[in-house]
Amino acid sequence: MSETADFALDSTLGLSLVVIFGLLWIIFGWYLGRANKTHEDFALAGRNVGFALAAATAMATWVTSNTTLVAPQLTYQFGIWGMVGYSFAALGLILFAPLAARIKRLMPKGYTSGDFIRLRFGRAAWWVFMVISVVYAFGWLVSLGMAGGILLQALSGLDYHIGMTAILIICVGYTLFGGLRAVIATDFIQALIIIIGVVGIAWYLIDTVSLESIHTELSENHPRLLDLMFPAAIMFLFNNIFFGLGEIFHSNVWWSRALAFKGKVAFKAFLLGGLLWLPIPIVTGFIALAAPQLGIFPPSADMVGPMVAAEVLGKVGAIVVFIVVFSALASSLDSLLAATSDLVTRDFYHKKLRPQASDKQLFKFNRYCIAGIGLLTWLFCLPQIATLGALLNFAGAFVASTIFPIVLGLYQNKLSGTYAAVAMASGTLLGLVSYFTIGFYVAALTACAISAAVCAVGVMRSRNRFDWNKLQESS
Amino acid sequence: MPDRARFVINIALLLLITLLARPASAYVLSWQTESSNQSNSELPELSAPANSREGYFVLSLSKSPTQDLIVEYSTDEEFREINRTYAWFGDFQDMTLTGFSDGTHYFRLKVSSSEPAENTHQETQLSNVVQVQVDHYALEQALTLFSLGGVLFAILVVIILYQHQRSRAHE
Repeated sequence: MSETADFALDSTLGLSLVVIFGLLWIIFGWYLGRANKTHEDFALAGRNVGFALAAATAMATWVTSNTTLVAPQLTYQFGIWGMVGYSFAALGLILFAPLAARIKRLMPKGYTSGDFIRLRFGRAAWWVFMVISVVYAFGWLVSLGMAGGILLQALSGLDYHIGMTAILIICVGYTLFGGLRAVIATDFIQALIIIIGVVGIAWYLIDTVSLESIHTELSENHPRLLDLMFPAAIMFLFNNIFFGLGEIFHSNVWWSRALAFKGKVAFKAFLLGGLLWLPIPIVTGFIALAAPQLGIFPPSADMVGPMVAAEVLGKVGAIVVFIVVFSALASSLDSLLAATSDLVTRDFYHKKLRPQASDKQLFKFNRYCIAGIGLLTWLFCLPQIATLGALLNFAGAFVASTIFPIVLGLYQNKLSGTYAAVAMASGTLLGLVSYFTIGFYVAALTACAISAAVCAVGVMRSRNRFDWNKLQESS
Repeated sequence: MPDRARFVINIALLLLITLLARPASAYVLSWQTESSNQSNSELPELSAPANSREGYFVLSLSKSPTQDLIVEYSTDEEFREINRTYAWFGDFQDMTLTGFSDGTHYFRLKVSSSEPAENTHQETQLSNVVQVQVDHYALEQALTLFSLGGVLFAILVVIILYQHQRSRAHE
């Protein structure tokens, strides 16, 4: 292992790929955006998304830096459990299927998850929820922007800031032109690219580097990666599940989809999206297990996936990896930009600042918002502050505290706003304490457990019954 | 948005990306061009965290490498036996290692021996030695958290499925 480790692509080729893909997506977004006539068209794609597009966007949005970069990272760090545990994040989509059906039934004219919290739990809970949503949205946005930079750096040695800037400009560009319609349509194409690409890479890897040689190398030199009794990995398992559940249950990315899907499509779409997603982290994670056998020891654990694929597949492989990961990042980044700007437009601008705003003004503000959020994300991405996994799991302490308040809020009319607010705030705080005192792999679990306990007390002590008709707010 | 504005945005995007690019040659680590004036340069200082509870950790260099480097790993402080070597990747300053069991692990740098015979004297150049103490969490602690997570998850699934069925029946 003494040869120089060079990059799979030269930086000019890497840049050319970025420019070509960027222009294609932006032109496509502009083309689709021509059909947007009202703010509802722009924000919720006219509430008319059919089953095929719905399932594809559910799956593609969930395939992100999480699956293409962080799943290999966690496999590299936690071994078998990292890989299997990561695939359990599919449970988030699968368990959101019944919730999505319920959301659509309770709020057929709703816009955002913030709407639900405000109407169901009142102002105090809404503020706590908005803080959690904003922290999470920026945590995820920053991790996606960072992932773009890391991807290009790992494959071509191109400066981190260039890749990061490029992916943000591209995603802001086509979301700005096309709104949710463009986001969902590009997600469909990106989903196809991701599935074909990931399966192709894994197939070639197994064919080139045998399973037996990978197993031998790991057994001899990295035994903990094969150990099913690996303590930190065991601690990580349910933490990852609750993190995934919290991400999906609270985020307007998924609520806006549930509300945009046609009729009763939501339940089937999320179920199928989850089942399609389930094997992807296994495949991407497996790639990382081959790293020691190939003599690849990355600068940062989140770079291991692209580096292994590029090493095994050479230049062509590096291009494939680039296209797959770039598609995965774009499919999530655009969704998050659109959903976060909807949340700000609807919950802050329309409901707090300008209740009389016309449809045209909302449409315009939404677009300014997308550009502003893109710029803010870029500023946060400039200093590469943490690994992707650590950054994402920091947000885990926030989002996991919303799981029980949301589930009980949707189904149980006894939980009051005060208890929901206390559950989310105390869960987040103690989740953060565990994040800093134990590690990132327990933050979500702690937050969820505390929040569940507070909600249980709230339901038992409550004397009030919520009137579900209060959720029917005119827009 | 008017056509002209779209055109301007596209051109600006192209220009921005192109102007920010570093030339590919800036990243090529080639001993042929560099070894002549850098063969005598000192090795960067190696650093590492003192402890790890997960068996993975990051080794760091005090500056970007200017020559091909190898990390030597041993469980012996005196390096009487080298257990494994790791090639340093590119001009990055960090390397993440993983999968280590409980114990004290020692690391040091040396210059790669892939260069021609006349340069092999560089192999003797060694860096400082760093040690990492790996001490995994107790299994009992991990299993307690695992059980807590399992119970909480089961409760959540039962609530969702039960309420979903109930809500459908109510319809």
